[in-house]
Amino acid sequence: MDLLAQVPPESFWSQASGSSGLYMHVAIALIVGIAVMFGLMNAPTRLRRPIVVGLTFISGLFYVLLYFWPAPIARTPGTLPVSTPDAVGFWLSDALTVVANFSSILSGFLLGLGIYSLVRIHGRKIAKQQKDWGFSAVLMASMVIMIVFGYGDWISKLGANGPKMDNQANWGFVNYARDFFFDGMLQQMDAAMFSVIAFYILSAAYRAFRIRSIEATILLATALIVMLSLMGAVEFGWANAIGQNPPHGFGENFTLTSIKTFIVDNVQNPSLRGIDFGIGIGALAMGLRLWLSLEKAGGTA
Amino acid sequence: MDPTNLSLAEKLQSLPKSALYIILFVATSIPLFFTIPIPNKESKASIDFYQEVQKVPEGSTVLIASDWTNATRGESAGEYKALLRILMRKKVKFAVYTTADPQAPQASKDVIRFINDERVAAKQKPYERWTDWVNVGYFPNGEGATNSIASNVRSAFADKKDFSPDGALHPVMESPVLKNIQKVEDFPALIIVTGSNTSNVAIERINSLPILLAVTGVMGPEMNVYYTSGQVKGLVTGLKGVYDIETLMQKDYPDQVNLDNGAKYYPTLHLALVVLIVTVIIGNLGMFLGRKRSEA
Repeated sequence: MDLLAQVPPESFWSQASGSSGLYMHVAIALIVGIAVMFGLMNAPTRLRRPIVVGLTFISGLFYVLLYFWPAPIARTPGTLPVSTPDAVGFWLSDALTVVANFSSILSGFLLGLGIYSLVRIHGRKIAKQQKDWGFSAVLMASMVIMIVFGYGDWISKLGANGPKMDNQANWGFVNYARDFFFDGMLQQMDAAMFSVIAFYILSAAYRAFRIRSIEATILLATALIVMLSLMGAVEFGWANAIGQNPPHGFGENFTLTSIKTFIVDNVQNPSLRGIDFGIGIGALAMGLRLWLSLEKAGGTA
Repeated sequence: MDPTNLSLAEKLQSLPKSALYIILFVATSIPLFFTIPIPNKESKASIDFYQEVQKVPEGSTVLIASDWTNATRGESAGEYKALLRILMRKKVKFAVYTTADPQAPQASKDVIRFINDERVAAKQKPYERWTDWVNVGYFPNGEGATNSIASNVRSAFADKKDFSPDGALHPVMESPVLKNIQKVEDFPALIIVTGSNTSNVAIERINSLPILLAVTGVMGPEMNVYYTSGQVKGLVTGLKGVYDIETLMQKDYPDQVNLDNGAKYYPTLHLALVVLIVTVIIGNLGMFLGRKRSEA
C-alpha cells in the first residue's frame, strides 16, 4: 500500500510518490513542526497569544486570498504563469488541495480527541461503578467491537482479494461479523431512530395544531394544502373534480399543485431566502471575528 | 380523572399517545404488504431532474456525491436506485464520492450491487467497477474537499484509489471512467443524493457545471430555493420525488424494472398523512365542541 502517493509532480506542493524530493519535504515539514511545537511550549505566556493570533490570521488569509485573487482560467496541465499575479494565482490554486489535506488531518485529530474523551469519561464511570455505568460498558464494548471487526474487514479487502469481497460467497468470519454489527445493527438502529420522529410529529401535531387565532388558521390551511398536494391520489381526484385533468385554461390555477406552487414560490421561498441571508451575514460576522481573533475564547492560549 | 366521566369534547382533545402511536404504526405498516397503484402527477422539479439526467451523453462520466446512509434510506435509497438505473440504461459512467459520512460509500456500493444483480437477472451486462464506475471514497473535510474539486479535480482525487480488474488498487484518475477528466467542467453534471447539508456546501462552491439534487422530504423546502433560482437544474424531493421519477421511467422504459421504493412506500406516505390530518381535525373538533359547551 503506497501511503505516500501524492499528486503529480507539477508544483511546489506536489512531489512524485517515493521521490527524494518528497522525503525531503516530509523531513523538513517534520523538523519545522517539531520546532514550532517546542517553540510554542517554551514561549513566554505573553507571546503565546500573538503566535496563536498570527497563525489563525495566516490560516484564514489563505482562503480569503483564494477567493479574491484572480484564479487561473481554463488551466490545463503544463500551462505556465505569464505574470506575477498569474503565478500567485497558480500557487494558491495548487496549494488548495494541500491545505484541504491539512484540514482533513486536523479532523483526524478531532476523532482521536473524541475517542480519548469517551474512554476517559466512561472508563472512569465503569471503574467506579457510578450511576448507569452499564450503559457506559455497552458503549465501550460497542466501540471496541466495531473498531476490531471494522479494521479486520478493511484489511481483508485490501490486495488481490479486494474485488472478490464484493461477492458475499467469499466472505470470512470477520466480514460477516462487521456486516452483522454495522449493517445489521448500527445501520438499522440509525434508521429506526429516524423513523421514530414520525410518531412524535403526529403526537405534537395533534396536541398543538389548534385553530386558536387567525394566524393559526392560516398556518393550518397552508399546511393542509401542502400535505394534500403530496398525496397523488388526492391531487388526482381534486383535479378530476374541478375538470382540470389535464389542466387547461383559468381553472388550472385551482389545482392543488398550482396552489401549492403559489404558496411555495411566493411565501415559503422568500421567507427562507430572508432567513438564509440573515444566517449568511451572521456567519460572515462570526467568521471575521474568529479570523481576526476578536473573540476572547479564540485568542487566548 | 375518570375517563368515563369526560365529555365528548374532552375525549376528542385527549386521545392517549399510545393509541395515536398504534394507529400510525398499523396505518403505515399495512400498505407495505400490498401493491397499491396510485395515480400521480409529476412535479416540475422532478421532471427537470429526469430530463437533465436524460440529456447526459452516452459514454460520458457524471460525478455523483452519494451523501446518504441508512438513516434516510427510505427516501435516499429509492432516489439512488432510480438514478443508477437511468445512468446504466443510458450507458453513462459515474464516479461516486462522499463528504457526508464514512458509512456513505458502503450504502452506495450496496445499491450498486443490488442494481447489478437485477441487471444480471434480466440478462443485461452488469456495470463493472473501474471500467464503468469508480468509488472515489470519503473525504472527511467536506468544505475543503469540495473547494479542491471545484479548483482542480485531478489534484483533489489524486491520492484516491479503487480496485481495478487485476485486483490491485490504482489511482482512480487512471481508470477509464476518469482518465479523460481534466477539470470539473468536463463532467456533464454533478448529481448529489443527500440527507444532509452537503448540497449547500456543493452549491456554494461548485458553480461551473449543472447540479442536480435528490434530497429528503424535510430538506425539500430549503433546497427548493436553489431550484427556483436556477442554481440547481433539477430537484427530487422525498418519496413523492422518487415516485415521480419511477413513473417517468415507466413511460420511457416500459419493459424494465422501474417501480421500486417509490411505488412501495408512496401508499405508506399517503396513509401517514391521512392519519396526521384526521388527528388534527379530531383535536380541533374537540376544541370547538368544548368552546360551544362552555359558551352555552
